[in-house]
Amino acid sequence: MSAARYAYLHARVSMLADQLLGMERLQFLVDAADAADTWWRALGTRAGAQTDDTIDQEVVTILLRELAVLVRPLSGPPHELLAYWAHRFELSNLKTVIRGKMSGRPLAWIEAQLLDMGPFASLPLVDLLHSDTPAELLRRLERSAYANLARQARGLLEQGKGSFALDAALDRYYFAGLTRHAAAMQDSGAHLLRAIVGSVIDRVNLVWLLRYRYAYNLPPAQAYYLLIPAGHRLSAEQLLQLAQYVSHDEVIEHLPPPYDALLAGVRDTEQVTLVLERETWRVAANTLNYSAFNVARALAYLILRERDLRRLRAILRGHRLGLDGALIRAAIGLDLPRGDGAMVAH
Amino acid sequence: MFTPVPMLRVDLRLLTDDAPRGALALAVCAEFDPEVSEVPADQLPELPGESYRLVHGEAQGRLEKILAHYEITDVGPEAVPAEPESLAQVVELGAWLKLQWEQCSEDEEKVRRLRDEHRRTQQLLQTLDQFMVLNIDLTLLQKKSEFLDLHVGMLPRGNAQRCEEALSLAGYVSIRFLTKPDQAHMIIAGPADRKQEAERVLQAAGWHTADIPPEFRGRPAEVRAALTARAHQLQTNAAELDERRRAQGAQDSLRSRLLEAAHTLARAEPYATLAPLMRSRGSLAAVSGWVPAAQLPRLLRLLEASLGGRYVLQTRAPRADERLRVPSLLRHHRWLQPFAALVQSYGVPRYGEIDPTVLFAVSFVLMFGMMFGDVGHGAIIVLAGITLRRRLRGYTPLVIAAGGASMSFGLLYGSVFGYEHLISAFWMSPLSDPMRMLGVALAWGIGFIVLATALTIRNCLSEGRWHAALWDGHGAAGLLLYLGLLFAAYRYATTGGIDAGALLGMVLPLGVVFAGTWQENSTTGPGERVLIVLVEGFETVMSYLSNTLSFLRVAAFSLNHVALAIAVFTLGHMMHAAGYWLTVVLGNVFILVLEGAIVAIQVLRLEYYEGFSRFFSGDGRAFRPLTLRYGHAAALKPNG
Repeated sequence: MSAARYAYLHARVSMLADQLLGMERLQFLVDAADAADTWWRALGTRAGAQTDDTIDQEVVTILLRELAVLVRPLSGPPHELLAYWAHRFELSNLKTVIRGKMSGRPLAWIEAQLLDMGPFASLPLVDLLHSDTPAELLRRLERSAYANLARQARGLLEQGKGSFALDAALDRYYFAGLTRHAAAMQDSGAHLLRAIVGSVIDRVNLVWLLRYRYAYNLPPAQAYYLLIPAGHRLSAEQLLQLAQYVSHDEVIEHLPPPYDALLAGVRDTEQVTLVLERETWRVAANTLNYSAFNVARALAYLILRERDLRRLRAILRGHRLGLDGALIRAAIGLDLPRGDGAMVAH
Repeated sequence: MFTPVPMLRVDLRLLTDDAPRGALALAVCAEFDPEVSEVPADQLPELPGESYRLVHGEAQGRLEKILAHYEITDVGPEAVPAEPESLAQVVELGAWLKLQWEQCSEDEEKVRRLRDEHRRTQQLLQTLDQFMVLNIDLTLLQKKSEFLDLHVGMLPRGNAQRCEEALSLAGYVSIRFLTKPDQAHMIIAGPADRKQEAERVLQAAGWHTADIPPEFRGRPAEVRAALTARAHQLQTNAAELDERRRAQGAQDSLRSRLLEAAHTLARAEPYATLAPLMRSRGSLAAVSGWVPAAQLPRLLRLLEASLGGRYVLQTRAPRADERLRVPSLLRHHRWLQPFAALVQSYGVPRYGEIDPTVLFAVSFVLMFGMMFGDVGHGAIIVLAGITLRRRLRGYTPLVIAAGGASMSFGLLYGSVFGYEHLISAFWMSPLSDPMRMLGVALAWGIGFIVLATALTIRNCLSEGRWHAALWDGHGAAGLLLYLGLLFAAYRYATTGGIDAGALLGMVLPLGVVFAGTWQENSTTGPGERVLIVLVEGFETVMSYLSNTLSFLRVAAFSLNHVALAIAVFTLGHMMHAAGYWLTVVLGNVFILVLEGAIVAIQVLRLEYYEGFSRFFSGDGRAFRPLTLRYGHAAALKPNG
């Protein structure tokens, strides 16, 4: 049943997966500036000088172009899940517009920061950009599919809470939605999908928890409240317990498996992020390589593709700044021990 | 008529100070489609209209919001040509619009607050429903006491009795004030020093505490009356604000000022639109674009009148390498507009490519008539087209033409609402000789495919794609192969065998198609090359055969139409007089709506897939001229 339903998607994902960068190729691109540039051009990016902003836009454009190909044969919850994945770029646009309007930035400046969402755009961006005040912006947002978000944001602004609370609310809204969409999947690969999404949510929750508690010094109750009300291996009870420890190291020591082994001895939040990202890539690569005829493979591909494009972006920036190979490798995490998700999908 | 209107590339050089005036003249002409200039950016590095564009964009955005706020939709064209506004004037207008919009925005925010408040009041009224049976001051339930532990909430109905019994052991009393099929709503009170004991019992019983909003002050009936009055007051306030907004919008002074602002910004818009494309260095500015060759004299007259000789206009014909960039302008009679819209829903013809609108219109109408031939049904379609012309708008001619064709073929078939004895057929009833109908459909399909392939060859030749025109499966070789296949089929049908001539007629063109494909794939390896040649050759033969057979549906639907009518009459005859007529009427409605829609879709499918996909690339660029937003009296006059 699912073989027939996802035959086209399976074939498409397999074809696209050939583009993923293996470790050897990645090492080669770090060492050869011309090859990295040629590789980047071969992705169908626009000609002309590349700035950081245009590269960021190109990354999103490539991902959305491939996403459009993948969602085309889908309908119902699988289609909604994959399309929802692209929402975070849109939420990034929304954050940019809200921040820009709150700080009184000119229209052209805000426009320049926005990502082109192509066919996945659902925000009334033109209306939002032409808002004169944050209150007007929220009124306009309330007439869109983001009405709930607008009410929540207004509540935060009326309470005098700043952009930090708003950003946290937007992120929580996105990840809670992602969990909801994954939970709505019922077919054979649903457990794989939930494992990938769960791994992402666990990473975000743990990193936020560490940041809120020990970088921003928020009390346990507030830090716990700001987390996403979902998880895979980190349940709500475990997060509640972890929020009460007094130091970063204590949290790491009391993590449940497999995070206790993965994060043993890791002492800063950036490293925690990198290690847990690798864990997500490992889960995604396993799904891509060892499962068939399901939507989880498509999501796994998109996650790995995004990883590659962001690495390629870092390599290009590194070359442009004249950094040596070791620094670029450190920036993209190639200097960490192997066992990550850098394996190529077949 | 059969190809897009001939275009000229124009490069306009003018004084930077004259740029707004020049842009307005181009917009009044409404025949200039701007494009990126060919002059290198380092020669003309400046964008003279950039700040103008930003100021205009903000002002236009505010104006649109204000017009929407006051529900002003009809701005109307400007009567007299006027000068474009200077940057200072647009800035000044923008400042006035900003002030106006601040007032409007404030009013909208007030309405939003009232609406939110009203929604919250309604929610409170819903919450209050569960407390209505309590005739006590609800404030008492919100008070914290040092000695009394009080809980208000609900628990599963099945647990209620045991919970009450258990709580009584801790010295608590409970009042059930509302019982629903699945839940019991209760108030529980007891000594504060045994609070923990009670809470454990409540937790085990699945207790949910009900929050009592602070607005609930007094007895439930009093609270309800207060909340209802508040909701009413909020509605009244919102209605007053709305009334005030309408009154403000109707004020002549404000309305005329806003309309004047709309026209002012419309005059400024052409320069703002051209700003990203118009480049300059010092006092010299340049902009490029496309103009229909026939409209060049008019454009020159308007530029002359506007700029008085202070400009240089260079023109040239489109180059072969920029064919995809040249916009396609299709001009058709009003009656052909709906057909043109259907063609453009498939794609815009490339510049120089055959515009299939006329062929599409003729073949669409003929095929629809042949598949749905009935005088009565056709007459109803025509009447529907005339009656619903306001709703159908531009599609009225298509509906009337389809109905007319249906009536004409109805006369040929002798069919009126499915009755075949009311009038005598000018030709024959489809069901009387199905084989002949199939033969006619086949002949129509062959003609259609031959014409489509001939158009493919013509389009390839006009684009200089000689290889595709001569050797491709959809080019001359393919056409000869198709004719060879048809001849062989004819020989087989008439003589029972295929002679050497017929065989040669198939094999030779097929060999040419093979050779063409072989040559086209010169960079691939030999094994893969052989595979491609064989598969593509097979696909060419199969597509010609299947596409031809696809046209049998033209006859199949004409037979289907008669068969459906017979089914309706058979059902009708099984009933009495009233039942008969009811069945016939409903059956005809069914045929008209369902079969009519299916036939229309099938015809469109034949046109798109058997016709357009052969000769029509549809990846052209539509001609989008610079125009004035609300039109212009002068612009409406030809050669104005």
